[in-house]
Amino acid sequence: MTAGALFWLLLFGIAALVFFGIALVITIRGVSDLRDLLDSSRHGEKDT
Amino acid sequence: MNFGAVDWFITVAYLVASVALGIWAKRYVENLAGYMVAGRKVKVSLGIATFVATELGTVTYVYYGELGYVAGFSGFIIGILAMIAYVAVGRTGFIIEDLRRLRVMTIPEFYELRYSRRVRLLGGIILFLGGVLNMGIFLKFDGIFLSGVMGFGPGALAIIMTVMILIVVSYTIIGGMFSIVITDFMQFVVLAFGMLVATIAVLWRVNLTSISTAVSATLGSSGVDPFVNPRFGWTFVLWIFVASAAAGALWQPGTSKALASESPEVAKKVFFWTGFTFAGRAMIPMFWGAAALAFFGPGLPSAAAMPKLLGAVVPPGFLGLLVAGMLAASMSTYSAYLLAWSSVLARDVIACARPNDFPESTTVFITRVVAGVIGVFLLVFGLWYQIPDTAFQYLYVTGAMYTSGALGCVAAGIYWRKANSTGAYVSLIMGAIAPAGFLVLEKSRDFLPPWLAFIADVNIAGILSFILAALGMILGSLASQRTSPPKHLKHAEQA
Repeated sequence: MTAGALFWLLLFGIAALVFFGIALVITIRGVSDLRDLLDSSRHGEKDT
Repeated sequence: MNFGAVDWFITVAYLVASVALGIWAKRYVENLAGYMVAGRKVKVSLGIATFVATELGTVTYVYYGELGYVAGFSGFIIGILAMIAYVAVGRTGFIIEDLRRLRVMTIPEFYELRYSRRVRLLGGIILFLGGVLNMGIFLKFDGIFLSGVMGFGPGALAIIMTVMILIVVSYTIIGGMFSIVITDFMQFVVLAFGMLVATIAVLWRVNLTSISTAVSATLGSSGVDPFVNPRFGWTFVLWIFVASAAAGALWQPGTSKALASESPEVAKKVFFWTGFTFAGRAMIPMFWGAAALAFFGPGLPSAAAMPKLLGAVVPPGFLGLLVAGMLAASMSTYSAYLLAWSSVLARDVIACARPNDFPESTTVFITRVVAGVIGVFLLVFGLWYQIPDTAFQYLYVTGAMYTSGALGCVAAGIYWRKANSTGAYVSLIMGAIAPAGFLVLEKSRDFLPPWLAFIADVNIAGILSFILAALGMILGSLASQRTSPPKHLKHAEQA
């Protein structure tokens, strides 16, 4: 394996870890954000 | 055919759930702001999910997979450049912070606040044309991908394209941004899982050494060095960096995530964290493409190689998950783009051709009709248009038709007091000339005189559009300060 290929594959590994790591966190935290969005919109509907 | 009964069950169940969820969200649409920017109530995590889902379509996988197959690892530079650009926009709040503070719903609205209603009309027309042309090839690439992975062959292309567009248009028309945000979240989870499945399957069947060997043997140093690869080079790197920063701040489907955010601070965080996913967004499908080069060798149609690899290495059962993930990616992208371009045509073109705005209910109605018409156009355009060069460069050059002029107008409008409407007109027109020239003249490059041959080079046309737009804004404004005094944003607008 050439040094150039090793460099890019290493960067690919880091980029993939960051992508899937953020995806995991967002999947967990996004549920409560989604609940907040729907709750606040429903309250807004009642207020008006 | 690669698809089994379990795969079909997963795919159909996913499609039914998407449509049901999208239509259910209609109950939350109270007014125009609810329809177009989800009432400006989106928080950080949900904002990131919807942003990533919008910017990752099946077309993204296909054009990056194609680059991985034909250019090896050297295309990975695109992911790094995009990551730096989006993280920088998020960190500094470049443009997006001010646009969110101004509470605009579309970018051309800013043109009216800072310049004039006519500038908004011209900006809206260019944004709409660039945006719809840019989106024109999405369906075709999705069809290529899905028919390749599922094993149907090219005959099924038209049917797959029609089913997909019908589903997306239906829930986008009905629920607007609320439907998009809610379905995007589900689609984000499914697409991320689909990508994980595909990456593990590729690593399972194709080892890293064979990928590296295939890239070196087929492409030599141009497979690892973007500055040596004739497809890229310094012009390309510079263009993509500027274009990524401009698109990060000013590409309506993406910027609408900032405009839908709870506050300017939330908008910055959404862009900052989404930026970090942009390296993986590009590198993961490019890696699949490079693996296809190792698995099949060179000589396959470049766009079809990566889907064919996934169809071959992902086991039955998981293939349904992968296709559901890809459908999720496509549908979230279509819905955001359809809403973005139909909003622009309704609010910034049709309404601006009149002296006064339409009532909110009329604007929502027109937006819905336009979204349906764009859906039909996409189907027709996607079936007959032959894409020049690789899809990646086509997408960036059609995007440049708008983003170059918009960067000149919005950045100068926010950060330069002397920017005026004359500069805005010149910037918008000059920015669109080079990409439009490329799209027209590229078809007849053999007949071009030597002095005009540069315009058929996609990288030069791309970078030239930003240079001309910037020059247009500066020279146009400076030359007309007396005849067209700059209009400044009012404090009330900035609050």
